[in-house]
Amino acid sequence: MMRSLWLKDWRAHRIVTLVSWFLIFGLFAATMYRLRNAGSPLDAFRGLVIVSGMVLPFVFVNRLVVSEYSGQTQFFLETLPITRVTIVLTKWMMGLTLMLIPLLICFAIALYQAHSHAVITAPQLYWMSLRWFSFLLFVYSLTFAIAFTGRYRFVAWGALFFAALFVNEMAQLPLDRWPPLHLALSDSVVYPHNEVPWFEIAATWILIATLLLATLLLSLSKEGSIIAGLYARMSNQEKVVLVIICVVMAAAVSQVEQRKPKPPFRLQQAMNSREDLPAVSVQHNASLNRDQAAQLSDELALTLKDIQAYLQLSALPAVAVIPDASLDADVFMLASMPQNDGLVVRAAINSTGFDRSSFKSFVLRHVFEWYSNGHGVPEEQQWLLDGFIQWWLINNDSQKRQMTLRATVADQQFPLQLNMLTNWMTTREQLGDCMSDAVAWGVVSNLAERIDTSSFKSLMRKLFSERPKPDARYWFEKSELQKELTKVGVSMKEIVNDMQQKLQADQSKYAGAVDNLHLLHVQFSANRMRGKNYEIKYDIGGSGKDNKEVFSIRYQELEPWQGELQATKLSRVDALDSGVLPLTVQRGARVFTATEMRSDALQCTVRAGARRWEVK
Amino acid sequence: MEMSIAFSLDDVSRKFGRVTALDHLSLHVREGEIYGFLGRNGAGKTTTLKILIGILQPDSGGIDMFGQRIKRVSVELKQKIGYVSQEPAFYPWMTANDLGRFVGSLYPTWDTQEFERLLKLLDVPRNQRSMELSGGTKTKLSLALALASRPSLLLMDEPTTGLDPVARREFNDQLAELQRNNGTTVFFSSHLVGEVEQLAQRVGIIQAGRARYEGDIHTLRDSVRLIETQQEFVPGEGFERIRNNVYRAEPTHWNSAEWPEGAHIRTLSLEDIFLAFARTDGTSLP
Repeated sequence: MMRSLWLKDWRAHRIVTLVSWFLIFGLFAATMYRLRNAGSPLDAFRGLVIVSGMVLPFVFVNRLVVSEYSGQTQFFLETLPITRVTIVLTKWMMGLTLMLIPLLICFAIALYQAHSHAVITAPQLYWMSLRWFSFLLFVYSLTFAIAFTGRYRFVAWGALFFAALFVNEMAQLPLDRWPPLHLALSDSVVYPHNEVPWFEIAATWILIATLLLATLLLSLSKEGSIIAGLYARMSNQEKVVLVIICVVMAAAVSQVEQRKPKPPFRLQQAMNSREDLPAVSVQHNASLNRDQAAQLSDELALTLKDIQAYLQLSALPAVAVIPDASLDADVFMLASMPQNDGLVVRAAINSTGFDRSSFKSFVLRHVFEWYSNGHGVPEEQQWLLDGFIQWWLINNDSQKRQMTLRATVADQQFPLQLNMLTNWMTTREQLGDCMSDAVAWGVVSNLAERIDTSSFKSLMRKLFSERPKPDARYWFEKSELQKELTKVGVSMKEIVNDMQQKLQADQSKYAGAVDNLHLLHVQFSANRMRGKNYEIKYDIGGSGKDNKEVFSIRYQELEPWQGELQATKLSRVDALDSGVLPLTVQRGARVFTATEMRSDALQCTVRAGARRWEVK
Repeated sequence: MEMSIAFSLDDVSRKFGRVTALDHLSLHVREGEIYGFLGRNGAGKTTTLKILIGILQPDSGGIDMFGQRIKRVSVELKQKIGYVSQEPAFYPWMTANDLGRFVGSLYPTWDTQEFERLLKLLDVPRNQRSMELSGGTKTKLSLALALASRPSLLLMDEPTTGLDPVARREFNDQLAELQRNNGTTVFFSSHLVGEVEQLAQRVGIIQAGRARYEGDIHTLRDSVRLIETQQEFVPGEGFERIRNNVYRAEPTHWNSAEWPEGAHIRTLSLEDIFLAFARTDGTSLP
């Protein structure tokens, strides 16, 4: 009987099965090739197990179970001399076998390859096989059991997904540490040792047994009428109820982050700001004494307090500063803190050339990033935020003159256009932080002069004091820039026109200073090495032959769909002459390259020739 | 000579939640006969057939099949039964040949030549996918599949539902001929009285899960009559009131009883008799 069912199902699904196997072998070959330099060929097999463990059960269970019950052909089977248990178990066994066949072949190949790299003992092989098998059997049993929830199977998957997210967030236990996943994802399965994950294996098998029992209960109880009922069509009322449940679940999960605030980061050996000021702590160490640390913490805290009062911000992050003499004076680094709240910034506080204003600007920019719940300010408003921060920090005439000069130089490189403001990320990438800040400062200063003080304040409050929602509602919020500018009687076009006129006037006013600036023009090219690898050359050309000044190359290999490039994450090479970047890329790779030079006249790092290009 | 029993149900009951589908139902089907099982929609015909093919189990009562008292219909017993359902749910991608191969592999008594002969006789295309077949052809294919295993018992659940009158007549004629040739016991349900009259030797009438009549069609026709009188009249002992003034009695009773002056005793068509048994409202018969 089982043989008849097996043959029937094989005839029905053989093409899909063979195509799936072919794809699995293809994927395995590609992964083996890609990870040929990894520590173990079993690394490629792990990747295959994870991908195919998610895909193959869906394919086979959908073909064997869902198509049978949704087509109601099980009623025909039930009239034949076969029991329901036979039907269900045959399908279970068949799906599992079809899933395991290509994986076993790939495992054998990976083992054969791994055998030439390292000694794998028989017990290690046994435990390794058990771990893979347990993981795959768990995913398969789960998929099989969920298929027996009939028309609610997608709801069940959704609920499971949300539950996993919820538990993951609440328990802060990463998903890859959960027993079934840990068996396949942990490095110890690829680089086997003698430690056996008994707990994970036992927990996984208990889950497998539970899922199998649930499958049998769903499929056999009430003489198969439960499963027949579950595969009946969904009514309109049910659809409405399910949509409501899905929305509620999504909202609940998105609230998790809000409900469970992360603890603030606590800095050791730090001087804290006064109690009546926002929390700022500055570490004192060899490069910064206690008094200097205390002074900086109060200064930063005062700046934060003032800006909070001006914009009526509802909250501020705790800011921690770590002096780090090993950094360049103009380099500020932000710590990544998945488990803690607040901002931790490293900077060479006491070194020569440290610009306190740039540092505060860096801190404030990240304060606003934090305030936006990680969403950031909409791109069309980003110039306004950058400009506002500079406008807030720049007070004296000498600083204002410096900013004007920078904006004038920037205008020589890229004459100001409306789209430079609306596509501000691209502008900042082209000009670098220092010069783009100057442009933004110029535009915002003009705006502040054009409209009265209270209008400017209310405009800034309206745009920056309302905190974006931390959950899915954020996606329904719209940028209000145009509307708010209209309210204060100004348009983007007018703002740009004003600035263009001012820049024109400044061009003639600072003509002498601007002309004295010496900017290198560096050419980048990709040279083919062995195979498909390329190196990237930078060439200062004839004009730079007598160059005596250090310049920097900033570069990064771009990911597909790469968005904004963070200045702190760009690689950097300092040079005096032409050379080759310490980067090997493959044909078709996309890279970002730019040249940066420190200008004493501008007291600023000037970026030139920034572009994204493809290696051909 | 007394014919042996192919199967019988004794006091079988079955509930679905609060709904009673079968209420102490008893039936006796003899070997080699065609038994028509008449009842309205929802009377319990399909539940009875599902119990007989082993898809459902009774809550109480007993089943005798092929001389054995059974609790449930085992795989071995199923191999002796052919089943034609109301709407055959064949795999849409399978042809008649594919279905023959698959179904045949499950029956030790499967006769491939017989299957091929039946396909030809019933005019069923062999290599056309079942999803491309008409409802009538699917039913014929279902009959061919059921008979090719040379079953001892053929169960059919309203097999001609959805067929047009011509197709229904063709199907019934072919079924009658096949039964005559093979001698298979046929138990079929229907709500079409004409069909039962045409095919069945004996009939069972079920109403609200209870058996209201079981016996020979001619005896049924002779034993149920309509009494038309000027005044109210209740016949004496030996007469069972079925509905309003329709009574059932032994055929000899009708001749020997004394009737009031002006009384008319009318015989009824099988359809009227069925209506008298099956209808639950107060409407009187014509």
